[in-house]
Amino acid sequence: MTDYEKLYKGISRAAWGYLLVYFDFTFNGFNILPDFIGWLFFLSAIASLKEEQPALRLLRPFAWCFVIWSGIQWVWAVFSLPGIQISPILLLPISLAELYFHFQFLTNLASVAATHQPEDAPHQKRLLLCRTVQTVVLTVNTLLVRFLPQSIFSGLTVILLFTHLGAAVFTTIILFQLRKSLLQAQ
Amino acid sequence: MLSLWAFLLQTLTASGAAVILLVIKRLFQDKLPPRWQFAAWGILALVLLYPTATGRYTLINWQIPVEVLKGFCKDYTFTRVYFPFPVLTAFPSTLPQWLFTGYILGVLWTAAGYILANCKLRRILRSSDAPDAQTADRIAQVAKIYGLKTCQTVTVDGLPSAFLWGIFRPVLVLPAGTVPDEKVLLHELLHLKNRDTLWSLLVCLLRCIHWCNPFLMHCADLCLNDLEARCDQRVLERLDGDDRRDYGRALLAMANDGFPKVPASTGMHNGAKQISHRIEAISRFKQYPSGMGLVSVCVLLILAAYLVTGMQSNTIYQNYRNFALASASARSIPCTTAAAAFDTYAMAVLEQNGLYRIMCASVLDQEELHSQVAAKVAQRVTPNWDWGLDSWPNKTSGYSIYNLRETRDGGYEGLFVCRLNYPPDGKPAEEGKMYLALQKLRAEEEEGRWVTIPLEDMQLFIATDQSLYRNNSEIPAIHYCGTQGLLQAEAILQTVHWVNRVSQEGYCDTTPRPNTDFTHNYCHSDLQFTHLGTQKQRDTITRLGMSAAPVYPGAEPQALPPANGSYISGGNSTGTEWGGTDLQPGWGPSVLVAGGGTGVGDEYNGIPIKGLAEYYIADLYVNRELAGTLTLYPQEGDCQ
Repeated sequence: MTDYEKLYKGISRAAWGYLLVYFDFTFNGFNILPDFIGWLFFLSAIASLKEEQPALRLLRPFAWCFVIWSGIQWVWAVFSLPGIQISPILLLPISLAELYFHFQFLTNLASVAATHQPEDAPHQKRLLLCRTVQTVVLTVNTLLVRFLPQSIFSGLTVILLFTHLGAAVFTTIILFQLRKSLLQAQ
Repeated sequence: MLSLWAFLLQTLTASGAAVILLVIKRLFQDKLPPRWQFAAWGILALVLLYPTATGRYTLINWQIPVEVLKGFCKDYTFTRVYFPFPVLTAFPSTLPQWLFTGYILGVLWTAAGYILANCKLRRILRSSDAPDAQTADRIAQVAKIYGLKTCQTVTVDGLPSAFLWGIFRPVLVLPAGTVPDEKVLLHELLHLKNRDTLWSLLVCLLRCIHWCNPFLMHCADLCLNDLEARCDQRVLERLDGDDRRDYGRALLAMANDGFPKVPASTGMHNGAKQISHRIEAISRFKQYPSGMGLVSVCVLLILAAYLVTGMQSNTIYQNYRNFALASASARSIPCTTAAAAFDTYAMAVLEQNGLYRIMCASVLDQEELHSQVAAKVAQRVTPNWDWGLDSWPNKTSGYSIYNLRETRDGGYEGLFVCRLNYPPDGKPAEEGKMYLALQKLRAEEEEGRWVTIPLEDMQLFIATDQSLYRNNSEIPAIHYCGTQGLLQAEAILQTVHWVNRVSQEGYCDTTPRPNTDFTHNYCHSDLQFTHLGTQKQRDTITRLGMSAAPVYPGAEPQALPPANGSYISGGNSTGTEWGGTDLQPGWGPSVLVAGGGTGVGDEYNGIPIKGLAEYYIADLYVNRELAGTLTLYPQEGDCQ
């Protein structure tokens, strides 16, 4: 497989992965866009892009963990099994790993865009912007939950939610655009 | 830390935080560089320096096993960590106190060991020599090339490797007889630049305090290893290609040498095993992903937010087969607001649950309460707490706190009211009557938690007025009184606070809420005149009116609306009331001229406590003329 084919495949898988991970469509309690398939797409993207961006290899263990974790959650929801209370402290490693994963993954994807796109192409800057916005929003949201009273929190939550949603939509769109431009470049 | 229990709580909580921290550091070992790995230890330092808050935990709720141990020692005092270091406040007389004294002696012994090592080193350095010219030139050259400052340098015979020592006037100590490698000098000068001896001293201080916790001792070793790895990273950032390999060789050459362990010092050599890890890290130097600055800071912020503040414990183990554990869990959950203290007491009454009562009981009541409830649990008697009346409270009616007021010492006092299912002592219920339990209660802060103290026994009260949450005219109110001539003016104020526990379907959730605020209050006031003269004197008055407003502590009196019109009466949300009434001959001696109430509720956010007014300011109107302005002061019972 040529370099551009690999790049196209990798970016394509990443784009579909984000579509599945960011957006849920639930029908009768059944999420027809399961997150664990999105994480499998990420694994495939990493396999395709690891030669271009060697640092992506470091994300493989995280991606596998999230495949398993989101898979368990999906099965739990499908069979309507009773919820289990897990302390937020125990979920902390998962939350931090996910925060890091998306940050590094998008940084590496932006690096691919910078390398294989014309200088004036906007994909790199936009990906980096989305990456930064999402990281900051998630961090601020987490800190708000810990420290601020609910009355202030409820208003800010809405703003943060819409910002995160906007960044998620934008990220997915940019990746599909990047995929298209790689196809044209090929 | 003033007791053994406080120390156990502090050191075990920090251990829980350290476990989480080690897991996170391992997760990011190959992703975030040594600089981040060392910075993460700052979070553990914060946890160790921040007194563990009562009722909060990180991984395991250590307060419960500590309370169980205390229970075995018949110690029912509240455990609170005031300082992150131990303080002996009294001569020991019990076993836990002697153990605490032994622990403090251990702290002093460990500190003495470090001080002795430093004194020995200082003595050695006094007789040391200045470096030879070649060494001095090399140091100056390295400093110049890499833009670093230097410090006083000495050489000592028999030293295995170089190290930096001292906080305010650091000294670079070199082995005598050899010219040190440039990279070794670079390593030590970078320690100097970053004041790493300060971190080393901090670790030593924390080691002294937690000398008997082997896990934290191990974490201290790991922290110092990360300090060296961070310095290695800084060295490698300034070197290139072959020089980096030479640096690794220099490290490897030290592997079999000894190394000094002195507080407030840092050295390139930190043990053969660590050197092999550092060489592995050197080989990984270029493999850390670049551009991870923002996310590394975000990860640290989130970690700090969770590990330093911990999680609030709010689950009582109601497993009476292990009462020691159940009561320990109750004591480990403090009420954090006055409203929560009243509410938890109310839930104890509604459920007749001794564990709920333990949660909000004062330290003085804990031992007796524990014995009473334990005895009933052992005999399998339910309910396990005697709440004061031989009847069952009506859960679906909830409870209210009447006439809540803040006292001068920052506590709160009010009247607890709940409805009974039937009269006590097996008496038959009468139609049209409501059977209530009333009790004056006080909530105050004690050792960082809110506790409830009954001011009297629970009393039976029979009322015909069926209202519980709004203006029950038969339940005591606060009377504000003032007299002008023969006219006695009175404002009768009644406030009600409660936490809504009853759902629309009539289900009462009695699970304790240790952090709750009141969700509703209602405030009702009546304005009344009493004429103290004869009927003949009364009959000269054909109309009375009053306009009155409450004045709360620290507030200024408001302007009063007039009350001299024929049909003008009303009130506003601040509690101001006005009104008047025409009088017929033969009226009296008392007449109501205005009355009304207002309430607020916020089940999501809670509402602040609205205490009682300090006094009322009132304009009196006699026969539509302003007769005077009075200040009405509160009195016990009716106005005299």
